[in-house]
Amino acid sequence: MTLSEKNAQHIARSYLTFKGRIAVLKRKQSEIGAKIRGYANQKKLEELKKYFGKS
Amino acid sequence: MAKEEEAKNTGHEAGTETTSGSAETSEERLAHDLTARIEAKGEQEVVSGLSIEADAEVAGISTESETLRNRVAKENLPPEEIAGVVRETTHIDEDAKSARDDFEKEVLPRKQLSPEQKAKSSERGRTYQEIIEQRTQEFGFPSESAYNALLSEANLLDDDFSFGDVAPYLVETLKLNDDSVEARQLRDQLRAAVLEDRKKLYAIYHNPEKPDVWGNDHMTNPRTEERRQRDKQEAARQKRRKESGVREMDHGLFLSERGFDIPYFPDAQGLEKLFASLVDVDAGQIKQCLVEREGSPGFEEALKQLSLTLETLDERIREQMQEQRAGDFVIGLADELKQKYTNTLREIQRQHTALQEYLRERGQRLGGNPDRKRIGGESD
Repeated sequence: MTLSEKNAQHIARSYLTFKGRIAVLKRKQSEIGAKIRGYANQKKLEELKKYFGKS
Repeated sequence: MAKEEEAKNTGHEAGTETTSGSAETSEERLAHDLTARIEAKGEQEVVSGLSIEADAEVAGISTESETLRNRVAKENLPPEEIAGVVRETTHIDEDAKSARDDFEKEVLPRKQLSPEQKAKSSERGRTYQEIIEQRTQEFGFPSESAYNALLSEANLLDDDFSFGDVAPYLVETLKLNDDSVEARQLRDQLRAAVLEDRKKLYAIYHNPEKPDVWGNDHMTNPRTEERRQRDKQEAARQKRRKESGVREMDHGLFLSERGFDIPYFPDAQGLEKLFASLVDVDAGQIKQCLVEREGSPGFEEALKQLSLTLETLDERIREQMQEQRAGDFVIGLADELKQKYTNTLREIQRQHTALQEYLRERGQRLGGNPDRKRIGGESD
């Protein structure tokens, strides 16, 4: 294995580790987004109940 | 992440298997690709390229976190929920930065930095972190990101730094809707703190060769600039609404909750009349209302918005009815809501027809195309 190949393997491993950690964080953000959407839908539903209750 | 994006980020060819299959395969492929690139361009350039991509990933995470914080603030959730999202997204931002730093530590040729450069870099990071921690504690912010965001928004070259420029999710933290003596004092103290800290940081970050006071060019990054402009526009819009004295109505809320945004109408009274007519005023009255407003400032724009809103509202209610039929929306209220939706849809369609009639009559009066249903140059 040449020096370039050795270095490339080390860089690739580090970069993929980084990408893996970022992927985990993106998943967490998706979960937070879903949670906010859940709250918003709940609020929308309550608003609908109120709104239609009035008319 | 989509394979294409993954491939783009890692420098792979589109379609290369990177996320599925074994990690070893991905690593080998990337290593093979990197070897070729290193031999062609040199290690330093390849590492720099990956480092830029890593920065972009971190910036993406940070932007998404800010979007989440703004969204949670806009939904008017309880303060503890907002604080929870702020806390979680702050951790995510910090983790992303750590991941990037770890990657760079692994691959960047640190030996190229002189001892003075290394010391300066460490001093910057330490000073910045100390300032953030101290102010967060001093002002009782829910997370370090709040004060960090304030520092980012403030521009040292502009001593008129205004809280009107801050991101919407900070409104609560800064008590911007509170005009009490205490709230004003808090803002004055914060303003002084921000300006003092910016000066302190400026002294160690300033690099005369780079365009901004932070010694880097993130202020001129088009994506950052675009986001800043969006936040500014949103803040200005909220300010205009507040100043115009437009009363929040059930109808307005009903529409805004469903994603309809009508930023400008001739005046508050006209807006109120038009929205009221959506629900319980007959078609003759809505036409009369429109005729009365003809020629007033902003009328044409308002008319265009109203026309589009009615069309969208019509579509949305139909969609919601379909969703409801699918059983995944408002479970338990289906029958009742079906009837209510049907009635609302009928109302909307009646008002829509009235508007179309008005536009047709108006077109005839003005000698234009009588079949023209929308303004703004479009026709059916």
